Amino acid sequence: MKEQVTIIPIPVVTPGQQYSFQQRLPRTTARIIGIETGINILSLLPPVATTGTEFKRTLFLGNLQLQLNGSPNLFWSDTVIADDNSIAMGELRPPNNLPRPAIGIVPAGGTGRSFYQFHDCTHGTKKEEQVIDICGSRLISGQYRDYTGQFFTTGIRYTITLYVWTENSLT
Amino acid sequence: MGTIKKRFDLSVTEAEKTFSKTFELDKHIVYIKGILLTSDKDDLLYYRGSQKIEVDKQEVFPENYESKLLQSGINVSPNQRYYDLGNMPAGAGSIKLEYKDTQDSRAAFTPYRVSLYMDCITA
Repeated sequence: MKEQVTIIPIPVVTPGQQYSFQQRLPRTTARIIGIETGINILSLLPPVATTGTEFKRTLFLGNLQLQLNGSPNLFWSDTVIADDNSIAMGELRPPNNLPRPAIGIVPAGGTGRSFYQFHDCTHGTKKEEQVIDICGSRLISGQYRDYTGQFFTTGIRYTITLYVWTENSLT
Repeated sequence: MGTIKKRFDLSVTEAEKTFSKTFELDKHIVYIKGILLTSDKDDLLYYRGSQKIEVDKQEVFPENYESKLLQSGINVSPNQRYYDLGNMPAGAGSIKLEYKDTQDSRAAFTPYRVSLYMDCITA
């Protein structure tokens, strides 16, 4: 196999938490070719303030940064969000212009969602890694900082999953 | 040489458990071009699912690889929905799916089906 993915879980349990980690990539790694992230939310999300319209801001959770060992600069940095609340913008609206229902508890026996209800799972684009080309070290350092403590008094427990795609020198 | 799509189903009946199933591809399938995951309850697969996939005992996606990364919404063109495996040899044609359901507050558990679609090339 020419490509391989290394999975790094980042648990967040308290508001404002900073999480630092180091991860050694497989011995056969020639270079890093892509980064992906995923998120698993364990506690209930607090309601996000709205402006009285159907516009609802996307819940920003924190910032993740990656650095290669021996190199002073960051090679990747991105924000982490819970769900993309702007996904319905520019789409066909329901005839009666109903606002997008909040994501929440699934009714028993099904999701009960129609195609006019816009969520990442139904209307999201195909997930693709962010392409990068980094070589020189097999040890990466990372830091995640949670920002939810600035917006909410109650903490949100969640786990970020970082996927580091690498290309092997052995084909 | 032609293309064929295969579908394999797995039922998730209990929350926070791992379900494993091995499927067999037809003997005349030589390459696997792409892979796609769908469900009868998209949001549960999207928020709760992760899996390990092996093709001919070779790991393609490791444990804890989230299902959402192999899903496509209806906004994606049908021709572009599959995750590109770059014509991976099918070998003996055994596909092992190890699916794990994990708690997520955005989608409460109810039994659901996970469907694994494979875009294959025949001899």
